Amino acid sequence: MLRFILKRLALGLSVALTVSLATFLLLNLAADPAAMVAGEDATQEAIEQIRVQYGFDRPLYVRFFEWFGSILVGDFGDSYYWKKPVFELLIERAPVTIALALGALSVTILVGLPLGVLAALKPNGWLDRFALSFGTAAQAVPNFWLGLILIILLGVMFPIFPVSGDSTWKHFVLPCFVLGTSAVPQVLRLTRTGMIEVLGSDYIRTARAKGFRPSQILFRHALRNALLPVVSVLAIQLGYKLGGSVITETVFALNGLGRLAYESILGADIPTVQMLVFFFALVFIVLTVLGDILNAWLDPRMRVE
Amino acid sequence: MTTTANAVAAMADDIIDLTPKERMIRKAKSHFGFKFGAFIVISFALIAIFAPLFAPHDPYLQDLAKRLVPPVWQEGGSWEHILGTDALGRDYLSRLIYGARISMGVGFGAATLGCLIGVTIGLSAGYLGGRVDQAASFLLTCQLALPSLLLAMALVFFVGSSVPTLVIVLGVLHWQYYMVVTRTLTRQIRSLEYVAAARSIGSTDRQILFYEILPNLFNQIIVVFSLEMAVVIIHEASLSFLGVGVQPPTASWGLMIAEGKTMMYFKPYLVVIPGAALFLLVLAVNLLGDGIRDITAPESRN
Repeated sequence: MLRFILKRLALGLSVALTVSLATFLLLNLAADPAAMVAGEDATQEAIEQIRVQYGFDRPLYVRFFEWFGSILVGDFGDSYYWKKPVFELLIERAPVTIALALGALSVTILVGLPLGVLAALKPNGWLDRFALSFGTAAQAVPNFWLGLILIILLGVMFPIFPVSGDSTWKHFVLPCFVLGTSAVPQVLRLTRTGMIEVLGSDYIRTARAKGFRPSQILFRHALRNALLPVVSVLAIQLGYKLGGSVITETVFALNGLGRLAYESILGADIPTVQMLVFFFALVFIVLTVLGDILNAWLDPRMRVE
Repeated sequence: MTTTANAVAAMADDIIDLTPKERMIRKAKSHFGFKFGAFIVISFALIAIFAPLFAPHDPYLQDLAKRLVPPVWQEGGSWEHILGTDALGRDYLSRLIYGARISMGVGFGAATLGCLIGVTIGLSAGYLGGRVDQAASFLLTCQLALPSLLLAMALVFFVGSSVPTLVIVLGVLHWQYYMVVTRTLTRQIRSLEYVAAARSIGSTDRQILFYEILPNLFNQIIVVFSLEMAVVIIHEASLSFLGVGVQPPTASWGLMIAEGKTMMYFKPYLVVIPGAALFLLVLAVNLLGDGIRDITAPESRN
């Protein structure tokens, strides 16, 4: 087990290093950072001045090692646009995004798991057909559009929930629903498939033969094994939700990390954007490593590659 | 009379052995999702290609005297502008039709680019194995960790928003599933007897890859292609909605929703119509992909 954990950690570290390099190169090669800081109407001299002032005239690898080195000592750089340390921005905006991601994950679990289990009880039954159709439809709904439709319906015609801002828990209901729905199809299908497979296995037949009540078989015997693959997907989904909150936060005017990223992109604020992309990747890596370890702990078979 | 004829024909079909191809066509004919998906996707593709023929008006022509005319089914609507007009008096149906070009074009282009990258990496990893395989898996893990929508937003905006930029950025960020599927299947096929037979008669690696392995991946790659195309279409619309994708005055469904957003309380159709078109297209592409999978490889359904 320890060997497994160490191996996963080493892989996570090397992925983080590669991802940081890729992020840095992509964003710094996509545009001339000096010209972006200077703005659209800047003269050539002004751009050159900024290039020297911000150190953009130095070779790319020097700047990368400088950036990466400062991350290692906990310095995330300064934002050009917001005129303060990126770390402060992260701390300020993170709580909203974490609340949103956790809320959305709860929605995904509360809708996806029961539907998947119910669908698996009678494959091809009406409930199964309904669940699968629901999944297909949910997969095709664009997130931002669903958000806007809900704002029109619930925010204005039947004003139950506030539609903009993040001051109370009520503000989070609609955004969590919207962000949570997007992952329902995947969790639903995975739960359904796992459940159908487990319910058809020998040990469940044995349990039935021994006369256990159906509910006991379902919850005590079947569910635990069926949910193993769902665990890693949920870890991945939580990572995607943290990183994919850009649209939801913009639509519902939540002041989280996604909106910060969006505003930083529009403000051509490369240090903040590259830090956020790297930060989201890092969170994703940590979550997947934890998911793998959790899975290996739940299921010893996973420990061998 | 016809019922009897059909019944006889069905009986005859059961007796006579069908070739795999005929069996597939029969399955396709009775698969609702496939038929529905194919119908919508082909219709949208035709509308996109022949947009100037279908559009009743010039999608860029502004007529300030006719701003915000409601669709025909609402009070004040007219058949001249079936889906009404937008805030600049442009015909909404015509913009919707031209918007199909962006969604279909970017979706198809980016999915193709992603396909080329993913299949190349997957084939090399699966066929060569060893170090190459390890490197490819590592690359995959890195790509999965990157927040692709956010990165796409930043890259498209920094490079400069245009349709080619969108296609390239979205394509380069969506190769993972092609790679995973291609790699797994290539590994399975590589060890089959007929590949060994091909090798024994002196086929080169190149011949084996292109004539023995690749044709057998075709069906699964098409399935991934449709699913990825659906994802890319939504991403393009999302980027355009946020103002970092297709730029005005070009008609894109995401951009139309963004433009309609400021007036959505009074004129909900401005947001509902392009979103519904987007939903329908993505749904159809997904159904088509699921249908192809059911028809060609039903065992991989779950």
